Amino acid sequence: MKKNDLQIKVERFLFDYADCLNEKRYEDFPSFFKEDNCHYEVQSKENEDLGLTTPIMGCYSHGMIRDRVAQLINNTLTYRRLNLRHFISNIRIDEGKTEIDLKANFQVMQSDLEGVSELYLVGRYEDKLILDHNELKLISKRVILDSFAIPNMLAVPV
Amino acid sequence: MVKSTDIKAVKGKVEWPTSDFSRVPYEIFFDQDFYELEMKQVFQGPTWNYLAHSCEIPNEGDFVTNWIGDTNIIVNRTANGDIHAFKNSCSHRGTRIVDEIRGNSTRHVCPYHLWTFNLEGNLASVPLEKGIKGKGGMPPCFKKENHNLRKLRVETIGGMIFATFSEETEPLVDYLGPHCESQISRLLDQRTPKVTGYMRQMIEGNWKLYNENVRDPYHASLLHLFQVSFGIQQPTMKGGIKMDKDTKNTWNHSILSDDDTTSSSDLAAVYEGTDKYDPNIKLADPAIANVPLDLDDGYKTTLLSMFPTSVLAQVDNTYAIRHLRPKGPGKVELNITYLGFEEDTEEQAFGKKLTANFIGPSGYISMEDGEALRLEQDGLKMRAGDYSVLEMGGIGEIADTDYLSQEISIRGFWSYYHKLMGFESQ
Repeated sequence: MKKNDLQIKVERFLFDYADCLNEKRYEDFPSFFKEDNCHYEVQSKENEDLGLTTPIMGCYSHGMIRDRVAQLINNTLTYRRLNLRHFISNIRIDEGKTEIDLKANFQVMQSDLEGVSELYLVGRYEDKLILDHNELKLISKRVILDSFAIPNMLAVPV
Repeated sequence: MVKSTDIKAVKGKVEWPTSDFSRVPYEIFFDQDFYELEMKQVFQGPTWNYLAHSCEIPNEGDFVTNWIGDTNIIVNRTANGDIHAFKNSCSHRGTRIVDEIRGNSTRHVCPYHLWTFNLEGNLASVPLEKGIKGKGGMPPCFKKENHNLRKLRVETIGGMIFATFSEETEPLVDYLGPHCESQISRLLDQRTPKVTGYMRQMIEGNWKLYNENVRDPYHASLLHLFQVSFGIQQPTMKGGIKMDKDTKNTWNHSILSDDDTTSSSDLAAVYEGTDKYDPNIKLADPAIANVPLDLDDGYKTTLLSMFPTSVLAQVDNTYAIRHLRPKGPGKVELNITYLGFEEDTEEQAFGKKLTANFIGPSGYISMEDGEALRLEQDGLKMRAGDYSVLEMGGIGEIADTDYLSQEISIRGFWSYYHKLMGFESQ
């Protein structure tokens, strides 16, 4: 695939990923990950820079990723009903032999039920993707938060 | 700073209608005057406040900055291994000296006029102290030894470094009490602790609401349904709560044994009429719930809540020190230090990464606390002149229990707070 085509394909993948979260389709979230081999981790920039490994969220199998959204799907969690919107920018890809390295910046705005909006999170993605039957799948997604003083709670994936 | 003439007026704003503290005036949680009084009476008063774990500053010159109430503190290690703590504010013009979270330095230099302090907080040098060619400089009466940083008393237990502003504060082990002493030893002295991560959560609630939360096992199995489904905590579980002599510090623990696991139909009865408990929830990957406990003494949770702002917590197989940093009456930062141990095998270290999903701002069994406190703060602001109700587990005497559904230890917290704030002499 031409570099430019791949860039467009990866960007579309990220925007679909963002829409899944923005639209609270949590049951679709695991489908962005490769089923037999995937990681999802949310880490603070503080820990990342210090080389400390305890994550905010750490899912090291597809099952764990499904478990991460299970309480959101079946609605047993007490959490604030906010509308979140992801903005993803500065998307760069590096194509290796089998994997695509992806780096991007993101920002998530939160809007409450009365329509008041504010910044929720800001940070960067460091992802590894593969093409599986011409479909992009995440084998690793690392969400590194600049805004690691988490406002109240982080119930949803980013 | 609250003027002493005003203290009486501030305290007179509320009443404590019951002597067993089963009623707490809501203004205590949102009125700025009480917050300012707390900064003086509680945080600058005869209390021990957590600063860091000694494993974070192993070498000479290693420092960490932390908060005691609104006051930023530098804590560091000197050449002979001693730990010193002092206020992070220059003795010259008040400037904050160290503007980092952690690091290493042989001395602390104020960025403004380069006044330099040694690792004991003593003023070591003042640029141009003698002036230039006989002109200028400090007056002859200026003595450097009169301008050291404001030092705090420091004591440690299990490597946890505590400091106090007051000369009156009793020795740390007496202040913490026997349950804290033995549990800190159980959790931190058997192995060599190391930091595996930090976590910060900004909670839109008063710092005392969090103190109530950690002294409230009543909510654990009701707000945090995840842990019920996976047997970490159940309303029928064995456990209890023990306090120190002042009832200010709490050891809250639960034990899961084979003979007291409740059937899902019994559990369904507890949650009848709510839509929260789903007996059919199953983990797609049960690895997280199958991490073996490091210690084989059966404790599923151990929460040591140390007045006013520190918690040492073992939740399942996670180990963490939590520290509250108040940010005004309506906001508190929960600052968490996750611990592992030098002796951990690779498998144990990975197990701790897995169980980290239980705790913190995204923790399956803790994330709702921030939300509960936000909602509580939002609601109680409307209730000036009214009181919260603490009667679960019984009213009257404040005593240890061998059951979990109780609010007695919350009353214990208020009893000591009331005394420390000087409400008694109202």
